[in-house]
Amino acid sequence: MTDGRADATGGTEADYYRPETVAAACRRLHEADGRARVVAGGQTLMPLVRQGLVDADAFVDVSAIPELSGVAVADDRTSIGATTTYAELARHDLSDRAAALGDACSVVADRQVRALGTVGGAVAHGDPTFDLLAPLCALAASVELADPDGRRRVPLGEFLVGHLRTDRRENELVTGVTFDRLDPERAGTAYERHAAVESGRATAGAAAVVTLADGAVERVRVACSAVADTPVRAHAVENDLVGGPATDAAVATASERAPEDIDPIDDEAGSAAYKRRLAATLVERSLLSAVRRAGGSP
Amino acid sequence: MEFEGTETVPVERSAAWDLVTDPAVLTACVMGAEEISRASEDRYEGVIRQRITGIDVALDGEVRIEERERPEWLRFTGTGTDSRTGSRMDADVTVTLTGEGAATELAYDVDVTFTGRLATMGSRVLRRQVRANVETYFENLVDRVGARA
Repeated sequence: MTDGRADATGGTEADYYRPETVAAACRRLHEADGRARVVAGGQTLMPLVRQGLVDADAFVDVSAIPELSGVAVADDRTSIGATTTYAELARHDLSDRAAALGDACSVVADRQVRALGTVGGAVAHGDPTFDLLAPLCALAASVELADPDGRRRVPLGEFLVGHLRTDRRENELVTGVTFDRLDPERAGTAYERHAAVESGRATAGAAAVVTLADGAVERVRVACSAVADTPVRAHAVENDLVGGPATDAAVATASERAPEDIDPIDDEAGSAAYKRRLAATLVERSLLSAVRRAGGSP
Repeated sequence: MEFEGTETVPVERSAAWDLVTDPAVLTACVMGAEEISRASEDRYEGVIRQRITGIDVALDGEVRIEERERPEWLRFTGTGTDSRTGSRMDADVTVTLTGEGAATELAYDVDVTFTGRLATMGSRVLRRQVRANVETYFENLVDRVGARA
């Protein structure tokens, strides 16, 4: 918008670009020098634009870049392109193998958001209540970024530096996320969350990734959403479980330690005390489901 | 929205008082604060710019010391307006200073309200943002004193 101002209806005068390559998109971002916004599905950005909260000279629509779309599953690594929508991810075979992703994609907001909202948008906005981030965190995913000079890969936990704050530089484009493949014979994943009906936004959520060996927990990662500035790993729960038996009782005991690593606040969704209790319950549910999917019978 | 907390700075109470009321310290310790100047003994003016992934905010405002009992406690109010989004922030802050020998405990009680388009972000987004600002200010204050000591 040339005068940097939205009118009363949220209308703006901004340039709109629709590049077809990552390099062209990065060039646009670089030229705009921090005054451009990346848009794909627009499910987060456009409401902010309409409310007059986003001020940009240009919008770079990355939805026509073929390289950014789709899921690639290799022998040892899985990559999800930034413009892959929640609905596409939910339909992909990957959501059977890494079921936590399917669990999350099927509960995000509403049908419109799932049809248009993208994986890259969820990652780049960095809202800890977004359902996809905790499963990605539990899968130890990394974020892939491109700028005019090259590409880099950052662990998701380092990329999300604070509440709505990320490590993305202004001329960088989030191109996708990637994570190591799990052993399909021994690993299971799950995501459980609770949301107030009115908002569709998680009050709290928990994702679990478990690998079993002879009925014991060989490896486990648990991540919670909506209960801290960023999605956070529940290290106390993980440490309690790893190396021990994958039983109902062990999971129940370990889950009680979920509040040790989270930092919820009072807001319209509920009190901090309620969210601590809720997080422990959701951690337990996600762990039980992940263990079952890993082939164990807690 | 209300926040409260405590921080301990490793200086005596009168020095802590001078720190809290020094505009240079305010500028250095408030996230994104620019050009804070002392307009009169009790009034400071300045701009706070912050950018999060969703929105950019430039609050143009002033801080006014409303009541004080040097060096025990002070109450100040802050107002900020963001002309682009037509929003306004009002803050009411009480800081109580308790001497503990060579150190001073600062107990703060902050009440912040937003009106205008920023208020439509809802308390879910703003609460975390404001709390981070309040905590960072006091942490920076402690770091600043620690670095000098």
